[in-house]
Amino acid sequence: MAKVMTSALAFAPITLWCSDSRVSEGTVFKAQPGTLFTERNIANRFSPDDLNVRSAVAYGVEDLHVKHIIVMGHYGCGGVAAAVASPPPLPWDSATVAVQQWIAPIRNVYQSSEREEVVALRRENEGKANVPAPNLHHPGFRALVEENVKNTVRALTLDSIVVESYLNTTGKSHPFWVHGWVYDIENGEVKDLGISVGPPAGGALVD
Amino acid sequence: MVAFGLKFVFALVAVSSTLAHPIHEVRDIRVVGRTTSAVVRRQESSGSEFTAIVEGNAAFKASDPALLKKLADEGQEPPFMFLGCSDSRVSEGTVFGAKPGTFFTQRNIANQYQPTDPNSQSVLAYGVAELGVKHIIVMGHYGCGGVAAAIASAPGANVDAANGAVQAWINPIRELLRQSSRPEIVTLRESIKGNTTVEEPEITDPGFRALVEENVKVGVGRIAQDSVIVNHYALLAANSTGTVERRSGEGGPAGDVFIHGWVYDIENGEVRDLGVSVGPPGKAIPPAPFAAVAGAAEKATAAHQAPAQTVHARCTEMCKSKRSFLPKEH
Repeated sequence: MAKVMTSALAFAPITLWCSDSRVSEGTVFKAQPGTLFTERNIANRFSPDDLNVRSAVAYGVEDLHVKHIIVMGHYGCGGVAAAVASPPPLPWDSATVAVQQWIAPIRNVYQSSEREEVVALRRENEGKANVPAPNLHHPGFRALVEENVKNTVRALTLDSIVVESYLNTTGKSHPFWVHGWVYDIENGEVKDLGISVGPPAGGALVD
Repeated sequence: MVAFGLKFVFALVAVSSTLAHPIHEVRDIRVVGRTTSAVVRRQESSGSEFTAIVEGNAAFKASDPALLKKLADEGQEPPFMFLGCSDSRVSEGTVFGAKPGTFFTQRNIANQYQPTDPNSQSVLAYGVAELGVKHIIVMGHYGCGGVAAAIASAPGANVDAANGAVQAWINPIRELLRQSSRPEIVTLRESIKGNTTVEEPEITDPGFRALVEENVKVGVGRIAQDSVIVNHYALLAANSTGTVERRSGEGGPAGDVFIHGWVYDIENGEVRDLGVSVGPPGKAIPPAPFAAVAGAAEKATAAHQAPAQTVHARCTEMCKSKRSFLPKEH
């Protein structure tokens, strides 16, 4: 795979990021071409059933030997907002079906999260026939964006691609770390959620 | 009520400070393994890896704060949806010098669109039906690793999870390689027939370049046939008075959507139009902003079928194209 690369990709982490037009990773990090191998989908989700995102992670880990996978969510994410809001009334056209099915797992995160801001948001919306999309600054919305990132990091690190690499049964795996970050679209700031995961301590892969 | 609010804000601040910190602060990474966890001090070398993007972010933050605030308050209204490759050399914001708010983007290996893929379909759906994008751009690039892998021989037995995922994802491109009647691809196919140890091709290989282009074209075709687009075009056709509203929070009439196929040359940053744009029936396609891949591809195919075109005329046209597959001595 390295043959077609015209530049040495010494660092090149993978970013798993939202499709939102305000969060193009090359722009937000003023990154040179060759820096960030990127998968972008609505609300930066990872699912073991999604061949699209899995193949991108697989390529990054196995072929590009990236050292870091950065899952980046962003405040004001439309996908996360839609997971809070009531679904549109029936009948649904195929576009609505596609979007609603995609964000369904985020609805699960919203409904089951025990984080107090999210609980507060749920209480606020209790009993409403038509729950609106939350405001960018609502603490519950911001918390849910962060919880969605954590959920993605969790799903990613449980995937067989990562597990097999960390188990390193072939002895040829390269160590990498998975990080969860959040981007603030209002001011361009990036925050680390402090949930980074790496290869097991004491194993052959500890850097 | 106020007391509760203050307490809440305090709790929020306390939670935020433990959970979120700006990435430029040096911090111990908590390494959590399968059976043990350990706190590992971040090493100097790791810090330097992030330096470039941390500094880049600092520069970006300072560059246009008013725009960021406006986009945050008003929401995004991108004119484009972009389907591109995950390749680190083809970030659409960088390649087009685009401001935030321009491209609603799906990036995956080899910029593929499959109607059975909920990931890319949800992006198309949201872009067209909710955000009201005007143009969908499918952009491939020469030297695409995914297309190269589709040309190379598949790995034998003992495929691990990672390899399995990549091979499954690029399988449609293998199919394209098998079925395409484009001359350069036929030539490539013949040259690797029966070989089980095919390597990835060079970026200048004409068959490789042609397959990159054909992969974009089938992507455009699949998007045009997707129910999201079919329904949208039907909506436009049914509405002759322009008063039908699209189903989005902002309301407003449903607008024309055009689908384009472009190819990016990683060697020089050039973007070329493949000339396969699709639009609503009866509507004129807007003029292509980028030069064509000189129609040399189509002309080459035409020459193959109707050799009436003189060699001289064909050579002249090929010279006009910027493609590098001309023989060195030409």
